[in-house]
Amino acid sequence: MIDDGHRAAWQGLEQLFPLSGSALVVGITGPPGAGKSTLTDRLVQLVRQQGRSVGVLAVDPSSPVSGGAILGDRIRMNRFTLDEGVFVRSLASRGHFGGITPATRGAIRVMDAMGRDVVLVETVGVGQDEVDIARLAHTTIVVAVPGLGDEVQAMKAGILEVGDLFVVNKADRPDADKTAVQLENIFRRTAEGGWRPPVLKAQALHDVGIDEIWQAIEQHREYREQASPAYRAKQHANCLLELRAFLQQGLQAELAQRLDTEPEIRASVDDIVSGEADIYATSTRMLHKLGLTPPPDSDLG
Amino acid sequence: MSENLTRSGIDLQPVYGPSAPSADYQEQLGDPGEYPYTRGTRAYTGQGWIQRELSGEGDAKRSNEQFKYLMDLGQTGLDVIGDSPTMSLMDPDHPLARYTVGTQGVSLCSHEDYRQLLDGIPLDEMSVSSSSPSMFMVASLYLVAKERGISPAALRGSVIEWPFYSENCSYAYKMPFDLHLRMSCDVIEFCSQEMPRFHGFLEDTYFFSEAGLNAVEEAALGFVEIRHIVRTLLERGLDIDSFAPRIAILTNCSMDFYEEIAKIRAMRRIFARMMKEEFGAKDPRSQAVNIAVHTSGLSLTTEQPANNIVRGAVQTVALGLAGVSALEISTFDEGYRTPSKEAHMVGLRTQQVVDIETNINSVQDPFGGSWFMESLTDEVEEKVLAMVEDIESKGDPAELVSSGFFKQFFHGTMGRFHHQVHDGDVQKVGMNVHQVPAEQDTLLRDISEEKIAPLFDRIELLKAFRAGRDQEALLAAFQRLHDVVQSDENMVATVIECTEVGATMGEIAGILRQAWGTPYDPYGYLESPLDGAR
Amino acid sequence: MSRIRVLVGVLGMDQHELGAVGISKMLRDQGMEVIYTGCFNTPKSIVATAIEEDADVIGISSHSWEYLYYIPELLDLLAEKDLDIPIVLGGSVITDEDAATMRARGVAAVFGSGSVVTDMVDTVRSLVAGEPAS
Repeated sequence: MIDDGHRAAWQGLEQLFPLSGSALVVGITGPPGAGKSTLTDRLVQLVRQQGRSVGVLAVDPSSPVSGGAILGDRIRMNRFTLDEGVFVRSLASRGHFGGITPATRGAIRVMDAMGRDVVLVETVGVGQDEVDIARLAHTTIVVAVPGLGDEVQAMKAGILEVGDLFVVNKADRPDADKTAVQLENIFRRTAEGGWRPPVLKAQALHDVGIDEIWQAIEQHREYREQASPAYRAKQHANCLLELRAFLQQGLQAELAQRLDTEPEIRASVDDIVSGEADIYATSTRMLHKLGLTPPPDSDLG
Repeated sequence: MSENLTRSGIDLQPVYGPSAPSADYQEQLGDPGEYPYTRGTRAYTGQGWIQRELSGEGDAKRSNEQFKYLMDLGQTGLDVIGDSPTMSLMDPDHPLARYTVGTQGVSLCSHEDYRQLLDGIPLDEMSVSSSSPSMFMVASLYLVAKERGISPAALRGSVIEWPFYSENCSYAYKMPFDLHLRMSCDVIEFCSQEMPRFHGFLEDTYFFSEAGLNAVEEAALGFVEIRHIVRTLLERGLDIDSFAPRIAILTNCSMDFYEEIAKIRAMRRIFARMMKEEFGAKDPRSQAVNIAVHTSGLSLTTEQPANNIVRGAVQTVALGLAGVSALEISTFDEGYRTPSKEAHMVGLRTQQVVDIETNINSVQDPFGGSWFMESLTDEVEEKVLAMVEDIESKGDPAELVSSGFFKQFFHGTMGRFHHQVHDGDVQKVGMNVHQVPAEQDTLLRDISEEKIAPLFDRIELLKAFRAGRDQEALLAAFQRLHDVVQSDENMVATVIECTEVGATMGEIAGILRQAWGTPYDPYGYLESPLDGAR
Repeated sequence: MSRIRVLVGVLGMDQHELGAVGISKMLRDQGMEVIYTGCFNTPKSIVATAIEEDADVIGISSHSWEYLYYIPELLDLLAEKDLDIPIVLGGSVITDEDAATMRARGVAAVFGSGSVVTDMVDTVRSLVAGEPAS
């Protein structure tokens, strides 16, 4: 239900609110082939070794043509399928380019309320909007691969702002150091009191660097708990963006329903089509009727 | 005056060629046994190819009986294949293995199994080839030879190395590519030192080409793998001539009669030139590669199984003409099951009929000099070389493996094959042409459709075996293996030590994975024996 | 908007994925969400996944005889957990006789060799709609 975006699901989620809020939410994003799924698997292993439970949300893109999707990320961590301490849910991006749908927030809350200590959200990481993941996660990891070369400079500004932690995976490759240095240079200019994203090297496949990544996540938690002005400003901005997304979703759902049922709206269409009514005037009048705007200024007629 | 005459009393010379060989002839062809070995790796011997049928079913004891049955029927070499769990480095008591133990090959996991498998086999006389994980076959062969007082240096046969394509073609080791490559190179190096008559590197192009590849694609992918492994061994500081003489190839054979002959000839020439010109091999044995063949299972049909006997015969003729070193026919019941006794016999008899009754072995490379065959050989060679270059231009082959390039490739070829058959582009007698209604298609059906039951008993016996071992010695051996894997030392000797104290294949494979930083059991069911102890 | 969620997987040691991948693509192109579990599944892992993912249908692709043992186990496990998720079984080694056995045992639909992939997709749709498979 949450998946399908029903507002009715919101009520259920409201009820979960008191039960939630304790899970550590970590986002994992980056280009395809960077090794995100392998890293997720190793982080799951680490969390389990700590004796804690984990939920994983794996988001894959929906086909823009058919709306369907093949959700195959869970294969990479299928050794945990029978471990009750690991809950994996696959989600389709359903048209949201960054992979974060309103459903993702709901799913996180459910996992949180279920008692999962850690929730990992693995997203598609293509397109400008992967910034979305940062709104929902406490800490966002951006996974990069060596060989980006000068592409690091060209990397979409959005993704560089999003990352709280950068991991150069497959670090056994010859250009790993170069890529790491390039990334470090970008963050050298972090403002006073801000969080300077660490750039770590890892080989997720060989279990190298995973402990260090977890340490960085813990350090970030300490930073967050200090609630510096820079951090609070960021939180506010994220929340505003998300609230807007929720309201938009709600409004659109409501509007869709009204368009279907409100007789005056349906009637006015005929008038517009026949040329008797002006679409601008009609829209202005309808918005007022829906209670969203003050009455149209009749002087402007 | 040769020893071979036609029925009418006409002399057959061992080789036919130009009376005054031109420079072009020397460069492109050469006589059999002469660089670039297009016409054959050895000069005329009068012997045909090594005749064998792929065997392996049930437990080691049953497969040993199969060997003896086949030897009685006249096979001159041995080849055995592991069951699904064995091929994936899984012991039969792994939860996933349950319903395939012994059903598609022999179940092998401990040294005791190999002892039983090789019981009564004259290891110093018979060539023992296997399609089962090389590390373990080599370790146990070595131990069995020593136990019997045979010098490992006398052992002949081959093991397959397939780090590139096994993960995507039904024999997933679930190991990172670089670990699998390390295992292969360690085995090849070990064999070159301890078992110099044994082929530690058989490049098997058969198994992956059954994913619908054509002759050019098959050869190209085979060479990509050979080249990468050779380069890796050279990077270790090994001399090319120390291991290259014991590289051999096992190819497929489809029904495309002429092309399969051209493929074999082209592969011999490509290999020779590559070895000499690119890798600097000086030993002629490094340049001349033995090519064995397993006929294509994909070329057979489940409809009208008797037609498969004909297919096997035709393929045998093609391969006899091409001059291969060993041959296995896919049996007529291949579509359903591992070979029945009857099918095994038919396979061997097919080879024997062709070998003995046709004079085929009287003349080497009879197609040599044919305008057609030389043109076809040249074209196949050209296309193969172009494809190898194309693949290698895409980057480090190891990267291609990890990135899923080959997986995509195989999916593409399988889809292509499926469509070709479905749409009738490829005609198969009995399947999409000259069909008979199912109820009339009875010839050889009862043999073909017999199913083999999984060996549940063996799973039980394994429990007792595990409990009866010296746990302390095992643990110490595992710890040593773990450390060796993380060093640069060749791991085969330590694997032999582990095998001696009763370690099973699944355990050893798990320790290898663990030492490499990946999960002991990638399927998530088993715990490492080292974890409890730490 | 509601989307049909189909779990697709291969059981046991069977490593032939082509059929499973092919049907997954078809289902996706028809607007469904496929939870692709790949190879090396057991009845237990299929059921655990179906629960986590709220699968509407379970699709098993089989090219080895293992399905004869695994499918009854899977059916029993689903019943044990009170899960009313239909199973669609497809594969080239399934004889007409064995297909009938599977159907009698409780498999909603069986597609042996020579089956048309579009038929499988239509069947999935009608099963989710609550209609019996033809």
